[in-house]
Amino acid sequence: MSNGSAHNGDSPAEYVKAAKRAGFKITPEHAADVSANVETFRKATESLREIDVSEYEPASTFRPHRPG
Amino acid sequence: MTEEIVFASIDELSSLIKAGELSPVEVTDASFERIRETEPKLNAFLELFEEGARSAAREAEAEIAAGRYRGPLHGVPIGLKDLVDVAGSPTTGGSPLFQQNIARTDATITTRFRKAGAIIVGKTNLVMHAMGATGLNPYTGHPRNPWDLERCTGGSSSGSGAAVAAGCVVGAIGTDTGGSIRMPASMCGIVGLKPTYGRVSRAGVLDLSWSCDHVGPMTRRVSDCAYMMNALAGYDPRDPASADEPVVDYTLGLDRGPEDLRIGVPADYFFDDDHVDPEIDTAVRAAISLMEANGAEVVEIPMPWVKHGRKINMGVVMPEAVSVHRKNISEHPGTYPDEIRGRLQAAMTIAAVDYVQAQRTRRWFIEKMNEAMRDVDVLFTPTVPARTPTIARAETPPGGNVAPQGGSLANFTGVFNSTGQPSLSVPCGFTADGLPIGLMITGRHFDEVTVLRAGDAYEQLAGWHTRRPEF
Repeated sequence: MSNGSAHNGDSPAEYVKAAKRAGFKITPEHAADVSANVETFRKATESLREIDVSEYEPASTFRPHRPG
Repeated sequence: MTEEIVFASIDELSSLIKAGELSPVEVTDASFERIRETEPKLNAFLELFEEGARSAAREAEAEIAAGRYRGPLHGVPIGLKDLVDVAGSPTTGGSPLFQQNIARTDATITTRFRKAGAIIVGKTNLVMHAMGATGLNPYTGHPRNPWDLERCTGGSSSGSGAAVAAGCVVGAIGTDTGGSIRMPASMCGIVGLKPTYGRVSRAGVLDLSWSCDHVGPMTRRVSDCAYMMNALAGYDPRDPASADEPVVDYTLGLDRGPEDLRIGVPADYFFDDDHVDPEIDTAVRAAISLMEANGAEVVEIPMPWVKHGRKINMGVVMPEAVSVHRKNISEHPGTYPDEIRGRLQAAMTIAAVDYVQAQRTRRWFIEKMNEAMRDVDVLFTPTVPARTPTIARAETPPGGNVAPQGGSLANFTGVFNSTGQPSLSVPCGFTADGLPIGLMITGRHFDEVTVLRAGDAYEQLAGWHTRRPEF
């Protein structure tokens, strides 16, 4: 994203500032909603980081196969 | 007569059509009559193809009269979610951005429906960009739930759910990235199948998340889903994720009953008190007991890791959705409703390394799921964890996408977008206030036949499909 919007790793407060700079309309409810979403995503990604996936490649090339 | 036609199954319609006792023209006329009657209340459609549909119906009538009957979908009216290309018509995604996005060619599934002789009557309403669980769209107007017009339909295939439940079409296409076929199916009291990832082509369907998007049928009967799958399934070189696996006859498991079916019931997450509404829990457990009483074997399966499924789904979908929308949300932010824009903008904070971690965790998760399902044919769980919210509640921040303990309505469905397994929602009862409840039946990759068999067996035992909404 250009236009001064958020970059990976921004905190919610930094995000709101960046979004305002980019000209997005941020109502108090909207800002709270964005912050809540940032928090949801933060918790989810932190939780996934705790899983040991050292033996696994990304599934982005995942193709299911019929078992057996 | 019209009422009988519009609520008929494909089995019932096709036997009459094939025998020349019912014309595809009559069926199509009945469909448009029903749409005219219900649309002011439901807002289920964004575009109708009256001229094209009637012309296709006349053609079908002539072909059948000449002995060239194509199969069970010949002369049967269907709808397409407005993410699906129909050559010469706009594919809008329910957004002001795409009002002039005129499709140059048909989507692969549109072509397959035409080849099967289905009559495409129109494009159904949806959550803008298919990004939402409640079904609302402030731009196109909210579709209404035929069981209670003040309630949400579920989303994002909201118009398809309402149109099928109300008898406007025999079946409709939905798409499912975190539950967008199964949630509206559950909330509108119909059947919805998310097939195995790669089984049904996405070519010519607007993207939300390349690795989690699925396309599938929504119908009133399980057998109708099987007939639609017979037309839809198959390898498509136009879709990079399309699976080159043999296509089977999806009706093979129908009418086989529940005997010897091995049903797995997760011991974790799906039935936890803090994850599911008690009334939904009771209805789904009753469905499991009914199957067991009629010869199915029920096995409880520990799945302490399954709680990560929805997080993986979110960790994959949101960065991909940001990538899909990056240019448009930057250049036209005002065209996105606050709620969707808020989620996409928040998702911009997800680090690249966390997206890769989600994709790696996904592979780990699929392995766990395959191992857990080694000795069972299907899993039985609730489809949606919470009661269907009112539209008024869903419109008010923080919105109606709220399950017990603040979770999402997609907490259960999203698990199986992470794995790519076939997953079906079938009606399994009603809440005390008369709203449908969905049972989710999930199988092994490419084993739609067993999933449909289990759904059909339950449907025939329970008989919920005989109820019709009155509005």
